[in-house]
Amino acid sequence: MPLLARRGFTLIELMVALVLMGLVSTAVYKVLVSNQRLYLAQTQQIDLQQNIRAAATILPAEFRELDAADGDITGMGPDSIRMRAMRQLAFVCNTPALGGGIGQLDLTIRATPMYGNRLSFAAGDSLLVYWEGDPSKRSDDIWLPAQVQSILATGAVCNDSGPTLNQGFSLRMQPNWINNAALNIANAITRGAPVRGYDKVVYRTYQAADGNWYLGQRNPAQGGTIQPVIGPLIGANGVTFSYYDSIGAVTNLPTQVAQIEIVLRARTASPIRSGGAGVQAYKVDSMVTRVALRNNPRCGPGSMPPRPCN
Amino acid sequence: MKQVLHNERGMALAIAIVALVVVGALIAGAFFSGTQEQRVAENERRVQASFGVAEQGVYDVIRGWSAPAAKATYNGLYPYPAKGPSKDTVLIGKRTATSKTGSYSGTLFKLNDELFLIDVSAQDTVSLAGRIRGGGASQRLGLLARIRPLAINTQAAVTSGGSNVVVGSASVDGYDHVPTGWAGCPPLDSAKAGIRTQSDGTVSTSGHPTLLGNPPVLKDPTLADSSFSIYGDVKYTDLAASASVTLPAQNFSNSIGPAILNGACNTGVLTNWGSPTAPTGPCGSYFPIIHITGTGSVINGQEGQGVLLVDGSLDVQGGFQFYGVVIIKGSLKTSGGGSTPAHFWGTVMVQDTAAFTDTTNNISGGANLMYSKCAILKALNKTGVGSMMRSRGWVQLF
Repeated sequence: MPLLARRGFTLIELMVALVLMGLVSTAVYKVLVSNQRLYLAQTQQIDLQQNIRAAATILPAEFRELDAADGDITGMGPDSIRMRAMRQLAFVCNTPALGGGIGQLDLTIRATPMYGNRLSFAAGDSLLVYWEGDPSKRSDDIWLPAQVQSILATGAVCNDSGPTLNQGFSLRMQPNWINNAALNIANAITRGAPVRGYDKVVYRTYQAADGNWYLGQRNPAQGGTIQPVIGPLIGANGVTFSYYDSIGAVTNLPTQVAQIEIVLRARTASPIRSGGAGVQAYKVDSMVTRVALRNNPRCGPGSMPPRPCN
Repeated sequence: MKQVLHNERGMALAIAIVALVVVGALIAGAFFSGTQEQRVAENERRVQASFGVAEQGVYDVIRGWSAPAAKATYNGLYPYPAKGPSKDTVLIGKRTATSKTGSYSGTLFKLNDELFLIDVSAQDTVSLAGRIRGGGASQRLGLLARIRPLAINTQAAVTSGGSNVVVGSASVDGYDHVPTGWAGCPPLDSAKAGIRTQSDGTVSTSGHPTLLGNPPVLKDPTLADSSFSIYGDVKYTDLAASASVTLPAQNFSNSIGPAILNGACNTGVLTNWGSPTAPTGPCGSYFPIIHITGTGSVINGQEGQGVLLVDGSLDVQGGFQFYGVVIIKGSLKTSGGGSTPAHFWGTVMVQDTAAFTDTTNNISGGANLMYSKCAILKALNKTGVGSMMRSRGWVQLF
């Protein structure tokens, strides 16, 4: 057929086609929008659940290693806890000089094995050093605090091993207990004694600049500004800590805490429609868990309930 | 048919296909998110399961410590890092948790005479089977363990339940002595009594013996017969039951000495009681509990260390040396013979039970019985069992 002989579409045909196309486009648009909303809602719910899961992983891991009786909890409230968070485990490789009124503690620590998320030392690090005292007794064993003043040397500092295993750190400290003649005695800290490094951290709820509430961590070793860990929360009461002693009674004495209950109420970052509802609202989810402190004394001073050691 | 195709001018099919693709992609995206979420949640569950298995693992090692084979293996280690062929670590083979939710394995390090580190890694059953993309979950926990030594209230170089005759150039010394060449000893202890007896016990001397201590002779009314059989929470019978070497009473002559096989201490030889004079040697860390049943044992020469339990009487005739704790239910005699005098480093408790005809200890022949806290401590540490450190023993390893 010649080109000029073609007659094209009639108006009615065009109108019908446009209406049909409009209907199809509207339907497709509705499907797309509804799918996008579903996707966004699902993403937000996933984020919410991730938050809950993060709380269930991070906080119990921090709390499990506490020894409340030895002062690891330095402050506690329903929305905050100030504590020593264990970060490092290492071992002394040379018996340090003690006794005779020596005025400082020079510790030599083996580089391998060393565990934790910090595998070196720096001035200012907080440590707990295992003090053996009389090796024939377990009852006098304690952990003594010390802060690294300076790094005297690194490298081949362990004198009990050959070149492959003699790597370590020589640290100088001047703890208060060095002036206590009952503690500053020769051979009281032995070769092989464990040393635990810790950070003094605070977990507490706070309202960030975006108006949302978060559970944040403040760690002076990492700048001292509060960093969000979990959130957004439903509000100032988004995290509640409850403290129990070893018989399950609520306690407000930090040294008697044996279990910590965490109640977390988090919400989505923005309102979402859920369940086919036309109204947008924050989706809220919650979690309750109770953590037993693994490192409380099992007997002797500080054990709860008091239990003699045999 | 060709004509029909030429007449198709609409877009319905194309639009439908595009719409289907878009909707399908969105649904696939939603499914993907959902699947990912489910995987994360399952992994979280696996982490929890692995954690439980790891925690069981570290405590299993503690619970199993008292088994004779485990105790001999663990207590026979040298502090890390040991020079070969001595060992400072024991591998903990793969074991399935009692809950059947996973398996664990790990390593036990000896840190020093008193301390150990148990390092356990665990995986849940599904992760272990290797069916999880990315390796699945695992957890690693540590436990610092400390030896729970036997509680023996040592107050003298020789504690006796009967009469004692010290003659010739024999020496009983309550001052603390560190055995030659031994490392890792505690500070010197306060002076103990030389000989401690019950109220009606006697100590007589002739010749030029040496009795040293604070006091040299202590008559202690609190020393009861039970003091020779019950030590804190452990009894003589418990100790005997956990002996790693049990032998009938006999004349051992000079057969007691270290046995080395392929550079390692051969603990299968019952006359191998360790090598106290070579503390860094292969048998230097071997401190057995030796139980001699019956009476009338004679030893002449060589050496041993650990805890020596004798149901009857013991006669040491030559240069035999023993480092650690000696508990004799009958009586003790030392006499000349051999090129060196008999030496006891640590403490000797002789009950002189009335059941035996001879209830007199005769210490002669230039024997030296010296109090040594280090020898006692090492013997008790090496024969004790590990328990979780009383504070801060639990460690999350990374």
